[in-house]
Amino acid sequence: MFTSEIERQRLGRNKDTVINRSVIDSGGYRRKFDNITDNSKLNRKLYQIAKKMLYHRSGTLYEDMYWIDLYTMEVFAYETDSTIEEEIIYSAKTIKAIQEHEHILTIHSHPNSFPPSINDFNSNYSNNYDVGIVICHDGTIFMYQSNEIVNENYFSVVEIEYRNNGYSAEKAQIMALSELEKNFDISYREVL
Amino acid sequence: MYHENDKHIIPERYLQMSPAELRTEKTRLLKEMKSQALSKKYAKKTNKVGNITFKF
Repeated sequence: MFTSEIERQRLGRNKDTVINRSVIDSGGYRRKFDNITDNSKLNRKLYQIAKKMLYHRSGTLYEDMYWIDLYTMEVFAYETDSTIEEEIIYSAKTIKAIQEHEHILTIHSHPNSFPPSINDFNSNYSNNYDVGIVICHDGTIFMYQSNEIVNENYFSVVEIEYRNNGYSAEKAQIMALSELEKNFDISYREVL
Repeated sequence: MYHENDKHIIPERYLQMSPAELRTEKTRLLKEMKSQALSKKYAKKTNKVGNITFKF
């Protein structure tokens, strides 16, 4: 009984994705959100959502995602019970809500603390989201936007070239994204 | 595209390619994408929506 309870507690736990509370709870982390938009009300809301996601998913590879209407600044949809690691599947309710809103900001968590994936960019374009925010478990924040679809295989080739040149997986992804920014109508930056 | 998948898996065949083969494949894919480029579905996004400006 005792053993099975321990196993249950460990199920889905990942120590590499445990948040660093001293970073996440710091004033410096809160102030980063002032550099996302010029609207303090929206920045404050993003900060509150980020904290909620980080505490909810700390120590797991599961992600949370929220959709915000940029005119009302209200959350109109969210997915916070995903049971697939590093993936968010939209519910029918979320899909319907997205179709009913014109200007949308998305915010989702990255437990592995990597920058936005190529799939994030393609989703941003396909769903016509105005901007996406990635909240990393290590305290890093990224914002991104895409005006076109980028072939995932192309991204893979660029990324593997950087890996072959000795870059870590994370650094290779960052370098690949920077290269893609030159050839495609996408943009991203780390929020500092 | 109604999902966000952050598990970017590099196809095995790319891991086996030499640097020269990767460069050739990269050129081929870029050319393919540019030739297939369809008219944009949406207006180009800006850094401003309503009274909100994104600090890109």
